[in-house]
Amino acid sequence: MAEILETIHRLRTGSGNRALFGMLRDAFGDSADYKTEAVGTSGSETIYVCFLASLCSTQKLDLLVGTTGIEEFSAKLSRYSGTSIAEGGHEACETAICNGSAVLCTAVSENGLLVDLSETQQRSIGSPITESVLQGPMYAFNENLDANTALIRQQIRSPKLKLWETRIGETSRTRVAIFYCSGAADPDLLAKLKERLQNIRTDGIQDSGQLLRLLISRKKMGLFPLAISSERPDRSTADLLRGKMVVMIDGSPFALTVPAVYTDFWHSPEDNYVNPYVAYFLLTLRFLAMFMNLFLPAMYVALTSVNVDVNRLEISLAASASREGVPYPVFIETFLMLIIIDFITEAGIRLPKTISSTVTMVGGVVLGQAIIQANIVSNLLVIIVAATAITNFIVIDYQMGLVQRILKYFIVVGATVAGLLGIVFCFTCLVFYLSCLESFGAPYLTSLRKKEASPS
Amino acid sequence: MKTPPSLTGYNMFAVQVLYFGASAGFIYPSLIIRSTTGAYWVPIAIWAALALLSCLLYSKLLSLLENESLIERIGRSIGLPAAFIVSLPQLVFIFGALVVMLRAYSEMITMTMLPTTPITFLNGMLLAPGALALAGMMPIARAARVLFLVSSLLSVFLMLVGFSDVNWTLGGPWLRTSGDFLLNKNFYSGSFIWMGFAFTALIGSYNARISSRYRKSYFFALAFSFPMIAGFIYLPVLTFSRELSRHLTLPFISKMDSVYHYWIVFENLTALFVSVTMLYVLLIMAMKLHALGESLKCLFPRLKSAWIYGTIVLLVYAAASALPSWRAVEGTIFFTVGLRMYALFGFPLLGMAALAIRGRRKKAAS
Repeated sequence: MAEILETIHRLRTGSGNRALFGMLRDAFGDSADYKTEAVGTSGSETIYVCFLASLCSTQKLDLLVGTTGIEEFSAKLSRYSGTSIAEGGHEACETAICNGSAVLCTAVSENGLLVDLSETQQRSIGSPITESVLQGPMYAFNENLDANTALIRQQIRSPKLKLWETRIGETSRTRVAIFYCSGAADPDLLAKLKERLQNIRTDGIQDSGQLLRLLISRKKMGLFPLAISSERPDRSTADLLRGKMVVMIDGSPFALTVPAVYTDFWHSPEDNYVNPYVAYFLLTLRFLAMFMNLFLPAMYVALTSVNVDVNRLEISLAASASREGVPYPVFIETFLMLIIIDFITEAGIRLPKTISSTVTMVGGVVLGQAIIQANIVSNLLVIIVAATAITNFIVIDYQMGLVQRILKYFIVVGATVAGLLGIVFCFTCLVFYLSCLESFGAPYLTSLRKKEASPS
Repeated sequence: MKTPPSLTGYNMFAVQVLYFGASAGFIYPSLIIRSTTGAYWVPIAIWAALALLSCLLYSKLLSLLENESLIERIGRSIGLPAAFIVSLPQLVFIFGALVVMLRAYSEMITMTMLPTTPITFLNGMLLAPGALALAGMMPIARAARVLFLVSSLLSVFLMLVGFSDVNWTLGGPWLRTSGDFLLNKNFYSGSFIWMGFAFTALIGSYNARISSRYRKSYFFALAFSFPMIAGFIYLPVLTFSRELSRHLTLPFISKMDSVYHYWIVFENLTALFVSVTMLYVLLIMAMKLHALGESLKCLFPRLKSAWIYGTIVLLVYAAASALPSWRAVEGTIFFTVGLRMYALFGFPLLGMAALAIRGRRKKAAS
């Protein structure tokens, strides 16, 4: 490491107001975790190490801090085993300090030496929280881009897996990466995606969902998610092999897969690991659940208030009997219950797990029973709303589940206005809307079957 | 040169089947039942043959195009003013078809499911097809595939349950025909269900390959839909007899009303039929609006698409709301027979003549 010391001795000397040490002190002066320590001397000048204590590894810092003489400092430097040491000016040093490096400089030098002492704070690889499966890999992405890259590379050990990286955010300078398989991915789409990422102007991004919002122009912003958000490496790698692209950002455990079509949101990663007949059965079950979730409350409104003659007489009579004493119109009654069940769902999600089960119990059983006894809603509606809530949890994709929760209100309004025909009209409008959507150039409404493609 | 996007054969098949479903279910059965005392399948078969002939004419014309739209090419061959004159009857026919379809369906809803809802409110359903038409041809095709999947399954189910409680002796004569329908206006009024290819010919860009693909799809769609069309006519007759069916305004609706099975969840299958028909009607109105809008866009290239479609939607809405009664709807169907004949045979023949003129001029110039 003799050359390090030599380089320190050779650092250019700047005039008083251009000295790096002073400029860094000005830049980071108000940060409590910004530290400067004298670690030795270079001729008549003291050598300082400047760093952000919160980003540097304590063990690695021990290498530099706490030395009493140039000999000891020299001896410690010889044990340095990080990346090669670079020399940089004010801007490079500022950026390096923000990334966890330390800068070695004298009080008058114009440049500094960048020593990588960074230590990334991250949680260990855990199980997926939002996409749990009973069969299949049980690990999920975490917030570290390098760790996530490793997880993907471990699944596709091929030079065909490419990685393009950029930084987004004027202030945050967040790392964003696009993964793709050369030969399988559409080069035009890749070029467009790169261009869109480079054109993003923002102060900072914290999550891949936020990145998706920035990727889609405000004019094209719609209700439906246009990219699959997944925390499962196996799902992302399967999509990569099918020619899709995966976008990840440092700091988010969710990967975005583009382009995404409507049916992609209904496939679970588990579908590839179970018997195909079972997978088709599960897929059918999910679509049935989707239809029930969207149309069941609306059907209740239509069949009990507008098209009473359509239903079987026995069911109509039962519905009327259960509504006896309910003072509100069916629409208000249904809306009230749907809102309450959404309150309970939200409360269950936001609260700690230990309390959320109590809330669900209180909301589901106690409130449900009480609301019937108080003659505010009919017991048939409680059954319908409970079924609606359950079917919403069958939705694979969280974002799609949220969209469904919103859509069912519109369909209830349609049913209130025109009964069954209102429901059919809303369904048709939904199909029309979906047929107009495109996800990064791919039509949103495409075949039900997953397209199989492998890198050629 | 990049080929412009075109419908696949399956898309075309789906659109054509949806067209038959949208137009054959409510007015058509009563027209055919009233048109003859002989076998009903004969007038249907004659019109099907004429539709195939028209499809062949259009196909021949479209095969002459080189990745361009029909109106655009005619405009370049004989000039925009002449193209406008040639296309005007076609455009009026599409406009009339839109008005009739919207109003007839709204009337049907009023008669069956929502008797107190104003027709002017029901006509507002045109907004959804208007928005889809503005979005373009490919969104229409994608929506058609989904709606075809849903509606064809339900239609087949309705047809199958419609076979309950039928008396086959009521359908006769099965073979004998006197040709009396040829002198009956209802026979000609029923021509509107055979216009599917005339609409799609105005949408999108064509070349010989696409034209051939669409022709095949149309043939398949016709073969697929023929039993459905026959079912719309024969099922009421086999249930209520010829005489009673002749006096029914919407025979197939009445047939659906008469079906009762304990295992069917719904008591009223009419509601199911009207709902399925809505899927057909909304998509086909979008297709018609797009055909009209794109033709006008070719003839008046400076006009903005949004303005064209907005104006068409408003005019169709106003005209459909202005029709005073169901009888006026039936009258409009009869009075537009000439326009339909022009659209089936006159327009493709004139189109071919226009392209031939252009070809001669080119030859003379070279």
